[in-house]
Amino acid sequence: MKKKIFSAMLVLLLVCQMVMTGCSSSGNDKEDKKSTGKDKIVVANWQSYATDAEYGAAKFEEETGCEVEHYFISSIPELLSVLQNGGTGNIDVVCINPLYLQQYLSAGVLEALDTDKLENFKNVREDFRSIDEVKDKDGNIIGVPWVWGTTSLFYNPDIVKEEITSWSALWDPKYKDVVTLENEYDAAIRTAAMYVGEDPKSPDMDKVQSALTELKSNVKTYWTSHDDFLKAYTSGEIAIGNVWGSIATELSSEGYNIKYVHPDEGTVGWCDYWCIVKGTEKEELAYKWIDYCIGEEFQNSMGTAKGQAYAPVNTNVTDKLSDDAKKALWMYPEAPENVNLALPLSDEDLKVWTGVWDKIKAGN
Amino acid sequence: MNKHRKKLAGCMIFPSFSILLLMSIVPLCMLVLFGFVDGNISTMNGIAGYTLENIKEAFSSLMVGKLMLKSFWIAVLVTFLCILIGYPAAWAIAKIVPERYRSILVTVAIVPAFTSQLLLIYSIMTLMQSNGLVMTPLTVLGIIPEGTSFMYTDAMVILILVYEYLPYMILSLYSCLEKIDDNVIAASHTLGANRFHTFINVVLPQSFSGLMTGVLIVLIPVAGSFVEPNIAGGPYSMMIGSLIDSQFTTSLNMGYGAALSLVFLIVMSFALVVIKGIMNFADRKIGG
Repeated sequence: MKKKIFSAMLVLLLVCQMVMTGCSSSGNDKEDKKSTGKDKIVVANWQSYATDAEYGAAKFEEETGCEVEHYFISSIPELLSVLQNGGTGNIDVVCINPLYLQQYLSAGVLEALDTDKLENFKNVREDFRSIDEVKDKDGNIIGVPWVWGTTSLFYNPDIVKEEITSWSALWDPKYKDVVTLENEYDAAIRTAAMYVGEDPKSPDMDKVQSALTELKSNVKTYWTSHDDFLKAYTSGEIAIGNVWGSIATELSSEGYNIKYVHPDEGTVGWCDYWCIVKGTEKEELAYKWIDYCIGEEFQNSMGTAKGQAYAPVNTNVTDKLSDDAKKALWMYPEAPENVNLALPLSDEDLKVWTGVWDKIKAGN
Repeated sequence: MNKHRKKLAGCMIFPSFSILLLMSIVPLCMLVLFGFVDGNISTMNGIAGYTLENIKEAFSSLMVGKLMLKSFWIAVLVTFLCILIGYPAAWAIAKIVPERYRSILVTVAIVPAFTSQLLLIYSIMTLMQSNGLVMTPLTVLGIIPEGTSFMYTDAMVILILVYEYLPYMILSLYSCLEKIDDNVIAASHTLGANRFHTFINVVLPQSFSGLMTGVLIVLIPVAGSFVEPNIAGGPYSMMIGSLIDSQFTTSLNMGYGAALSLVFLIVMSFALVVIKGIMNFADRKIGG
């Protein structure tokens, strides 16, 4: 009950915030503008996510003489409510996943983009930049892809003693009690769809459900967070399943034996997009920022960063990466072609997909 | 004079009453309201409409029913284990240990309650994982085969919950046990009652209010827990809290989440009335 009251309080807080942020934060902002003479742009992104690294905003500031302020996103609904309630005018550019982009668009907080203003746009992977989910009703592009990755198959070669090239290994009774899946409906359902040979975009849900139910007897745990996964993997509790490429990179760079493959059936991927907030006064600077983020310099630094590298979207950069860098990004010899991006679902499908996932987790 | 006192009383009540109103009654009303909202709430385009579907689904779904039953069962088990472990501990602190050590022991008992919940969960997981501090000696001694682990099972979830909530049980029992007059216990012995009868007829009735508080404090939050099964549970460890949590965080279907919370609130209130009835009945039986 305590937790339910807590959730209710959260909602209450949200509502209070809606009422209050309107006046308070815009007031602060004016003071900010007065205090710094330099041209400033506010970028909403997740913390420790490339742009706040040394090679990100700092480099941009150096090159343009402008100031970049980060607004760190704590949750998707929170960001949307900030943008709707006075955040417009504060935040100029925002990083959004296409899963939520249409929600933002229909809330009227995003601006249609003129991609001609972006010199580097033509070099961005075409299967990412031209998807319908980042366009508005009139076909205008709303978001520019800047970073991507996969949620693909990992295995621990110490325990899984064969070379894995197919998702079907997860269903192999040999691997009972060492299989894991991310506790996330989208990746789980698309993965199961690839296994049963359905179209991951609109699979036959009955087939997917029975496949995932069957898989459950092999599963040790559904991991829910980065830390969760690390703990289970490093203690040897799990040995095969799906995971974000970045986690596999991290484990491998710390000396753990882990293999990360893109199976023959295809893989699940994600891609984040930059969008410009409607009504921003810093439009020109916003374009400059986006162009910088998809430019070769930033993309190359991001793809080769020590510790936490992310896959570049700029094909010029991908082609030129060294073999070692490609291996670190799990793109050796080539970046995977058959990437099923996590894309938004219609309200109806969303209900069905999350319902199926809930049922699978709750079932016995 | 009388008027003045009334005013003073009003001033004293006002802050706590407004906190109660703001933090408890208003959210509760909003929970009821949101239980009838169709879909998600966070977007400005707002509330798409009102529907009875959420409540109907929450009440009629077999899956939800099973999850609630399971959560309740886990809560009862955890509460029982807390009493089993907590009663002797509270008794020892209140009556056996020399008085000068009491406050230290009480502090030791409640330290876990000051620590962040996640930290507690992760620390106990580190102890229990395969090749961890607990498992390694057991495998070396050959008690359990190598590679066995309790991680990601219901047992692990229950262990963590007991660990988290034990301090509350000990504390509420201790506060009652401490007040029992030593002379009453001595009298019971002098009058020929053995230890068992003294406990049943003298100690238990006098510590009943503490036991009741402990049960309430442990049972209710445990039944609604979701972090523990999410992090340390296996594929079959889902509890109703996890389902509600996922409606707010991943499925983004707040209306249904609120409806689930509401239904569970009603079910839990009902269950508590029954439990309280049973305990009062037991109290009267024992006391008489």
